[in-house]
Amino acid sequence: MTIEIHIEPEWLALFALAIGDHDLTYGAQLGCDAGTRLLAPLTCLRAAAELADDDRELRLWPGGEPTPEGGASGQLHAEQHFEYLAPLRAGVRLAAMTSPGRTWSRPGRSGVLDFAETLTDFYAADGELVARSRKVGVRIRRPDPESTLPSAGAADAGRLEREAG
Amino acid sequence: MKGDPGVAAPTWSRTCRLATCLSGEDIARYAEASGDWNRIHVDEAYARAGGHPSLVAHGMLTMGLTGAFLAQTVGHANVRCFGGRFLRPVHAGDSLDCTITLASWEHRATGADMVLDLRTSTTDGAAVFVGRATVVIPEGAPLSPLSYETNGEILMRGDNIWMAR
Repeated sequence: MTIEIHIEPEWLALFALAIGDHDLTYGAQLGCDAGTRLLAPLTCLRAAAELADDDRELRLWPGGEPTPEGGASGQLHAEQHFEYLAPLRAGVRLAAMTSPGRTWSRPGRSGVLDFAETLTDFYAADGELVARSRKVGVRIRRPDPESTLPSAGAADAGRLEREAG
Repeated sequence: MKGDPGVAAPTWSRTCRLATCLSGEDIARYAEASGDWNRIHVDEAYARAGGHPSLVAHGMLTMGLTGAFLAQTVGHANVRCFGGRFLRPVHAGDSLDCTITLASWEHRATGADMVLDLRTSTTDGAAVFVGRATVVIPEGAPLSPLSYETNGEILMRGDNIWMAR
């Protein structure tokens, strides 16, 4: 799946504020031409890609209900890794190409833990690979199939994350 | 730890308070920036019903706070890789500390490649995120708290610790 994302300076400033990244360059970027400054927050690509994904189940739509933990899949975020290959500049448009990666399972305290990678490559308009993201999600598979319903996710969040760790 | 032959391995670490008493507003701000409106992050009754003491912070908020500290330490543009695992949920009311430790370094012609270990924990000492970053520090980088000079010294600027061979 490929989606186009726009690293908007105004959104970068909002994101930087949310994570306490007070580098003044974010403010300075607001009045700059696209591509003239860099220094986007290190983790912003994950959020940018998900914000741009119209099919993402965790988005909040007008009048819609917030989704349960883990969304319909019940999958929790176990790991996140980024590789930065070129400076990420405010104002650029990137193509985010997402594909499934490895899957594996191992026993946990409450059942079998199913891990799945999601790989996303971020390309600039000229085709340059700017960054890579590797997200690992985990879902618990219990002996009783009914207990794997998404609604059980909230109760098990801490346990799942501990077991995933 | 490689470094220059004959140079004693430097030890260096830096600790920072990432968040003091993370609030529901902090979590909501990240929900807005990231588009992740999962109920467990924004609906306290839902989170409590799931066994949590309060709202659950996004894992990527914890990673984002950690990444901001990393970037402020070494410079955004110097980070090549950044990743880690989410070990435990972070809740509203938690305070977070992060320690960055120099794991290894290798001298290059123009600076140094460094591997940094990151550990973010709540104030009771429980790790919530552990990660690793690979950074390339240009020789004599003037703006970063973590600097490097080719004589094998790692210099900490400003109010940071100064360590040398």
